[in-house]
Amino acid sequence: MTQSTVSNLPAQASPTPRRKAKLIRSDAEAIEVAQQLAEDFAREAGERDRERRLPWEELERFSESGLWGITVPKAYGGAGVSWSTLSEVVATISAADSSLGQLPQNHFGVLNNLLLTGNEEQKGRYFAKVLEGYRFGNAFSEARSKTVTAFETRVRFEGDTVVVHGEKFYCTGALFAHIVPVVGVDGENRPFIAFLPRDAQGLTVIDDWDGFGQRTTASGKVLIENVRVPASEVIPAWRAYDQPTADGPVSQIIQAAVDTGIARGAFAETLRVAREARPWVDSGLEHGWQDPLSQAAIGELAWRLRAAEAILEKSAQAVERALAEPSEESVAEASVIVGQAKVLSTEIALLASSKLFELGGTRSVSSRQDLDRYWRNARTHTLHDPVRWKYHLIGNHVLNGVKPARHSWN
Amino acid sequence: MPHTHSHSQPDLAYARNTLTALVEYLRTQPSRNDALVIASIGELQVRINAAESLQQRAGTSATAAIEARLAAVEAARLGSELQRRLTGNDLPHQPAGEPEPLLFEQQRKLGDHYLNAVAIS
Repeated sequence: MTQSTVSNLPAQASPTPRRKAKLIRSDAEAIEVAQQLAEDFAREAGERDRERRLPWEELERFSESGLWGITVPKAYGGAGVSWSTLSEVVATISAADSSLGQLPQNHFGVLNNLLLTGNEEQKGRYFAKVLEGYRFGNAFSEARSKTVTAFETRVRFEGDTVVVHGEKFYCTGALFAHIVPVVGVDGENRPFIAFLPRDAQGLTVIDDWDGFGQRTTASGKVLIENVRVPASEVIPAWRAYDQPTADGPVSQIIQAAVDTGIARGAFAETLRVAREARPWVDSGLEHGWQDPLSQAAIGELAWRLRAAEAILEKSAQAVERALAEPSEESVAEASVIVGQAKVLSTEIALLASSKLFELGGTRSVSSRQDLDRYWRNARTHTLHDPVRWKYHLIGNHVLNGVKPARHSWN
Repeated sequence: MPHTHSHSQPDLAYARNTLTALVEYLRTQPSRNDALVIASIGELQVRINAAESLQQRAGTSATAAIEARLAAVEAARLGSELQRRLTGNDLPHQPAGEPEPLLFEQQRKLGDHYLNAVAIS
């Protein structure tokens, strides 16, 4: 892919929403809106992926629908939907187009961190913006630091102003955002989040994401060159991890919801291609859908998908408990059960998106259908944090009573 | 599948007992700090919780009962395997009294249901 440096804002980008978002008032309404949007997004998901056509227009419809504001607490004018509902919304959109499902992932994560660490003025101001339709992107991860939790980007406090400087990668959503939250550490290595307007002087979003999956997330580089913002636009994100809070499980459950959605999409396509498949010559059958071996394979996909969905629901309940009564125990419990959702959703997303071709036969690999996007998307998105260490996290809790480390990846 | 649900409980109980026995045993062993051993215990916990979650709604339909049944079998199978690999011994497994349809056939029927909308009796 050719790298296209965005030194100025692309035509579609803006520091303010094009139109005011609708206000969603209940959990049921959120799910209904998500289902309607998913139908819309599914229509050209393959074309968008194949052509790597960035979903500017789809994102406008997505955030204007009000879905990006559904976690804003009732006290601030939002619906304050449950985490079960948010998980279902994310999975529903992701089943249709997992790039679109992933794009608000960090937006919701940032909103939770704002709730936990922002002051009342900041919460009131930013929650109001989100209800108006503002989209947060993210500029959190860094490609060059030693581990995912290490940051080289700096924030420097100069009276009422904060100077942010650094380089970020995997910045899902930044290109399309109205506000780009950037994580940087102070002199004591404590992470803060600075909310930078999309048109801030010194902020450059580079569309250089060339991953083979999640292709239209534009999860590329962000350069922050001595960007100055008022201190009132910076929150002490570190406080969400200095004490037990559900910030890590909140971040992780959205990941698991995206992967559950990919699995649902792949399973639905598997059923379609298996129904249309020819019978194998030695089977003696008239139709492919009569194949007992295919039926058994689909039976396995079905129960594994239901298990992933059931644990995702339990995870949402654990997150609710940890948010309501944060403690070492409740947060650890949430991390452990959300870790299980990560394991199961990763497994079924990869399995279903691979079995799809086995049961559909050679005709299913036609590039025109773009069915490989499910596997490419599953493989790419599930690399966010390796599930081999989720097994370890869960086992260490069971065997040795070790509580998971508190950070955004647990 | 009248016996499907009742067969899940013994398998699930076996998987839980295996996990309990393994944790008790490993806590006396240096291998409790081995990353691979720890991860294997984590995997067993995942399989058990998946089976328990499906078991809780197994009574809602024949489909849900088979899904729970297959998850319970997998949890029990992993428990048995880990017991052998980590301790060198088997843990007695009490099978359900009555026979049940072959698990292969239950899984095929489940797939037939999703693929062809064939009702499961």
